[in-house]
Amino acid sequence: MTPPVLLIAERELRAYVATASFWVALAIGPAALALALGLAALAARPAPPVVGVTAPTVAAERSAVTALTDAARLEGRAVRAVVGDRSAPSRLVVAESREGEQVSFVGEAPPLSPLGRELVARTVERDALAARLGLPAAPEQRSEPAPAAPDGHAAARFALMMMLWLTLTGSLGMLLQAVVRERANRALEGLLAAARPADVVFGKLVGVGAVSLLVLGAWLGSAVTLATLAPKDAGLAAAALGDLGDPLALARAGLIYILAFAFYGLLTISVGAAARDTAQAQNLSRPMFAVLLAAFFAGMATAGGASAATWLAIAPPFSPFVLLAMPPGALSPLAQLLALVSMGLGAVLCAIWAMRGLELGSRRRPADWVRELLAARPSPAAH
Amino acid sequence: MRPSSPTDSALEVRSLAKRFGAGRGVEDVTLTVPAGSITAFIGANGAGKSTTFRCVLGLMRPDAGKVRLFGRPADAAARRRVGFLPEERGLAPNDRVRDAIVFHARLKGLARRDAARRAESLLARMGLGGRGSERIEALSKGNAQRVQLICALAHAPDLLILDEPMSGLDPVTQSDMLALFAEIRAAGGAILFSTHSMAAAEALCDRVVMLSGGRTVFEGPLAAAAERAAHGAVVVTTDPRALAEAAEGVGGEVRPMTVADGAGEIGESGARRWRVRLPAHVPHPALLRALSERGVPVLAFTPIRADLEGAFWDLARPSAAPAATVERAA
Repeated sequence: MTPPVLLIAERELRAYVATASFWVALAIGPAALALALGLAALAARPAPPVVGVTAPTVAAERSAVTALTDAARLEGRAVRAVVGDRSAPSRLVVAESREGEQVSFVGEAPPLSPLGRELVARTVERDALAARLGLPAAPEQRSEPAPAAPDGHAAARFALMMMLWLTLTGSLGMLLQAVVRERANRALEGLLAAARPADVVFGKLVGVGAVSLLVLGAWLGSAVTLATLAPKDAGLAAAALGDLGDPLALARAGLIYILAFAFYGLLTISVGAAARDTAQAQNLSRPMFAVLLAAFFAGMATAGGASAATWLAIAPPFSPFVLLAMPPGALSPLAQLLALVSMGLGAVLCAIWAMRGLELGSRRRPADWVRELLAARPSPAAH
Repeated sequence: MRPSSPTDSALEVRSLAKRFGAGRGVEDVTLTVPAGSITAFIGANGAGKSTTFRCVLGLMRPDAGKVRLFGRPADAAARRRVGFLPEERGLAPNDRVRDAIVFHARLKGLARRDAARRAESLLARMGLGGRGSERIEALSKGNAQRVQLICALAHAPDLLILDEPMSGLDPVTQSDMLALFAEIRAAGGAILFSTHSMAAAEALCDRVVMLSGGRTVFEGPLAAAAERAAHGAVVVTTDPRALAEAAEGVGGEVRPMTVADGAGEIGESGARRWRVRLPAHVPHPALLRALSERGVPVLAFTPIRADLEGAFWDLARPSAAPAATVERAA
């Protein structure tokens, strides 16, 4: 006999998979990722040609590199000077001689005009001479700072947080509808006559969760696939996708996702169970969605590792976003464990609330709860 | 699985109470549904029928009282042997007919293959063969109700609880359902159904439970319910005072009729309808004689025989005096 909770979950899953909007949601993520990566690859500049630089002294190496990049810049070109690279197709060699430093270009011609090459040679000679005479380097010698490498880790964390937010907002709406619709048309009554409130609550949670998992799986799967296909010079998008392919990070994110979905999902079912109709459910759920939005922004705000993040991390509504947004080392393992436990406890409380809410005609006031707890007697119907 | 003998009770409810505040809910409901019988559950709107059902099915936690199913406490295993048709039909409109039936049958413990086989058999039995692939929303109200009933029956329950099964159905569908209920009884199943149709109850049920103001006011065989009903007549007259004197002369009483029953002036003569209630031993001719002797201007005289409707009027309608004790017939 299949447990009722699985039957209800299967029914929910089938109901959503049968809709066209599900397939649109399934396809839109991979399509958006592919588009983003394509645009990033198109926008990325081609890698500059490499010129290997060898010189007898560190000062001469520095002078050659600066002269080379400055000359290229003056000619509106880009060149990547790599000190000590003797395998590069184009090389700049500085050699000492009695007359001073001799500059020569070996191999393929560097991406410079003859005038540019002459400028490099003279600049290196001048610097060598200045060094011998103990003069300071010429002030006009400037080299642009190397562009910062794209922070793929931060981008990946942001992508995970964004995906969690999108998944939650989408699936919570489905869950709310699943409960309210059946409550409003009394289908819930027939269901509860055959299954326990716990079966209904967790069946719906698992069913809608499976729908979300399919969508999320498609999105993450496509992200991992695109990460392997992405060209290395495709910038931030490629760097982020590369980080999403890390199995350990994905496993950690998966655990956070499950707990976040359980917490927010059970909270949503509680709200749906407390509402009589769709309008009331929408009114009741508004604060929850506001908290969800606040949690997303809190995650963004704490991405740099703010000290307040430790406290936000153990507040269940904020925990998943803070955990995903912060660099892994920014929170101690104990704080991370506490955050996961607090989410779990929050989910348990919401589950109890949801199951109580599904008992028809059992709108208990706080006083009733206290009285019941004090009396602690089983239901008379069970005798 | 059936109860061991026809004398066993499929359902026993004792002193059930569930209060919601403002006087709603049930106060003291007691009833028994023997195996292999059909019991009508009768009461005015708001009498507490649906609340009783919900407590029996575990949808609500009663404040007091006991519920036993098949001679044992009403736990999940016992409730799996119960089929329920809610008053407000609640099948998911997007579900396909066959899927909905199979789902409900599997919820009650049937294997997928058995559930599918049972669904096909019941669909054919209820005249819906070949429509299993349609969506519920595409069905007419009557057919959707048939599907809902099939969902309740799909796992071959030993006790069927039906909340207003006939409401909104055409006579043909009603007749089909009554025939099906009779089949279930013949097979040893028990049925408890609430209804406002006294004709349906009289045509089908073996026993009657009447509820008024959240209390059981009568429980027993159908014949005993009818016997307890006072009989009388509906009299149209222009002189209610003389009518009252004549009725009191034979031990009866005159009661005003509600607008729903046809109260109001008839024609331009100022005549009105009045319900005359007579003791069981006073025949209609005795009342006619008394009316004649007192010269009461009678424009119409319609006898009311002692039947379930009469019993309902006397015992279960909201304006009836609250019963101090429950009438129980063997």
